Amino acid sequence: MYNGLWEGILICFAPINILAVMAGCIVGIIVGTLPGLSGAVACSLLLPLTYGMDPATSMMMMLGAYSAAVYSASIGGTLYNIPGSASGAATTVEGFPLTKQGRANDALCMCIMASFVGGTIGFLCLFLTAPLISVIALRFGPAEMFSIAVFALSVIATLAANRPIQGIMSCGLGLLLGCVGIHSLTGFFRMTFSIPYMLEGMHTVWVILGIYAFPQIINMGITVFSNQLDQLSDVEVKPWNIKWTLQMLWKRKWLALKASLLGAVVGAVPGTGASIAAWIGYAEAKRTVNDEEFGNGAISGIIGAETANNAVIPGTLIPLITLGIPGSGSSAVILSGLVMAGLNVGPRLFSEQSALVWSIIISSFVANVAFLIVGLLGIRYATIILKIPAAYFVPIIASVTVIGAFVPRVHIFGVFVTMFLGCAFYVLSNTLKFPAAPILLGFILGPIAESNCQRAMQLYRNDYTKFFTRPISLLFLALAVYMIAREVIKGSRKTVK
Amino acid sequence: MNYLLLGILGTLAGAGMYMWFSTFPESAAVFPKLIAISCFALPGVASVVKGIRDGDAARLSPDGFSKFAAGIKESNKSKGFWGTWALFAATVLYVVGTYLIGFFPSTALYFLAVLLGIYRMPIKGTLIYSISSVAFLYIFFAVIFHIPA
Repeated sequence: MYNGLWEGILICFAPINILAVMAGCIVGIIVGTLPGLSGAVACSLLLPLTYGMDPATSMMMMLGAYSAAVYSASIGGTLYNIPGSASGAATTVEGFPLTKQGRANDALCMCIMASFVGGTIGFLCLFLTAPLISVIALRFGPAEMFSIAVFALSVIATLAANRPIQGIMSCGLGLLLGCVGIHSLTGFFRMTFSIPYMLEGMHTVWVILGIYAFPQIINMGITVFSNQLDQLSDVEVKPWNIKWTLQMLWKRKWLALKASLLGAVVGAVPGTGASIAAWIGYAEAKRTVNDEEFGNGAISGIIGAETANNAVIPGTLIPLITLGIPGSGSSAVILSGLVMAGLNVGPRLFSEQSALVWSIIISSFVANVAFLIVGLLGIRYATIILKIPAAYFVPIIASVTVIGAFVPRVHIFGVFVTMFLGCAFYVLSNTLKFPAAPILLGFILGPIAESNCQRAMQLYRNDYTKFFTRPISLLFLALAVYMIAREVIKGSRKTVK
Repeated sequence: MNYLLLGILGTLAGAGMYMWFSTFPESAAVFPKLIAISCFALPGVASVVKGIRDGDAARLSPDGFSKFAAGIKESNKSKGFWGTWALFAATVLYVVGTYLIGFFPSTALYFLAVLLGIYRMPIKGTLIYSISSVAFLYIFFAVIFHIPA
């Protein structure tokens, strides 16, 4: 079970990998701090750079960016009441009042330390559970893998954005994008429109950049024209007081532990993510702590939210490395990085590439240490990132997006597809409120579901009942039906009210 | 958020896709057909029902429907709500009736129902409901029961 652990540790501490994780952290902090840009955007911008890289190096860079982006989402919220993404919104409730009281340094220092604690406890959960799950997962056949993919899709679609109808339709769009190209069983060209560049199907990078990076270019372009962020006042950030922060964390150690465990569990459930975990952690703080006034700068609120949202990151890696099922948009981008490196991600990954898998697990902790160092050193300069005009970021992100879309097939067609997907998704998300994550997860899980369904049908000689007679398969299909039925009934009750 | 509009678009998209995927070889079409039905047509129907219950048709047109919306929301809420459902039921009966008693008698009865609906409801709302319901139900029935539309 622990084969390859030592090799994994050695891989993690190779100088090039340490440099990669530090570089990822810097990119993650810059991107995560900017309003509207999440960890998924940070990872998607780094994805094209991972071509030709060693899988472990690319994973460490992306995990560094993901961890730092989740932490830095709270910087803008704490200083200016503008969280970088939804995962920083819960921290903003307590962080911004602290800034108004002249305690921005306390709030930011607590954000970093609590994020580090959450990430570390999440890492321990990953370290202990992943090998066990991988042993069980080895016994799963195609019927079970199909059912797990269907369950993951149903959870993602219904929980992704509190709008189940749009979530399911987004998921459908992703599944259809995953169907483009030559059908493996019949050799039939599906939805290729007789375009030769479509025969190999949609490249993952096109879809990722199309739904994450390109709409942000449009959004930031609009911000540039309306000068929405040019009026930010100066906030003085005093030097951090690490001793006070550690004392406060020790005083609230049980809250930090509980919120971190909740975050890790939430992360392991597909379709949830850091923003939901942050609110659960914040609610846990409000429930358990009675000697602080919440809404007026309660430190416990920051501890609850930040430990939970950073514990999500190792949590999302549990289904990713044991089953090949990504739980969120960011982990789907990380999965794409593994697939692009030529790895066969699934239940056999742990046994076939144990050193690499252990290096990924350990790197989730190394990424924590890296963003702790980068974050503490850069805490006094946090306001500078927010004061850089968006006009400087738009051409950088646009260039990375265009180059990233061009590289996979070395053809301009990829750029056109990315731009088309970006514009289409911008319209869908702004008019019909379609969420992004279900599209990407549908795109990645669709081929997994279809290929396993076909394999199961061949194995069981077209006997559909096998999906319902095998207990694990039946359990996940029943859970999928339950998830959808629950949301439909809930929506129906809301409407009647 | 206009769920009626989303539902109509979703259902039409699902139905259109289903018809397109029907031209694929059987084993290559199974999964896409499943997506068209489960991710577009059925959520589309659910969205239409939700939209009708929320009175979303009133918000479809930016100018002419403001009075209709006000009517439904304030003094005329129950009339708009039940009128909508009556028209929806009439549309279902119309599509079924087309196959049972023929196209012309069914159309005549449907127009009678629409006229009664107009008597009870503002004209633009009734027409929007009627046209969208017929389009949506025709394609939905064609997809689910393989009835040639």
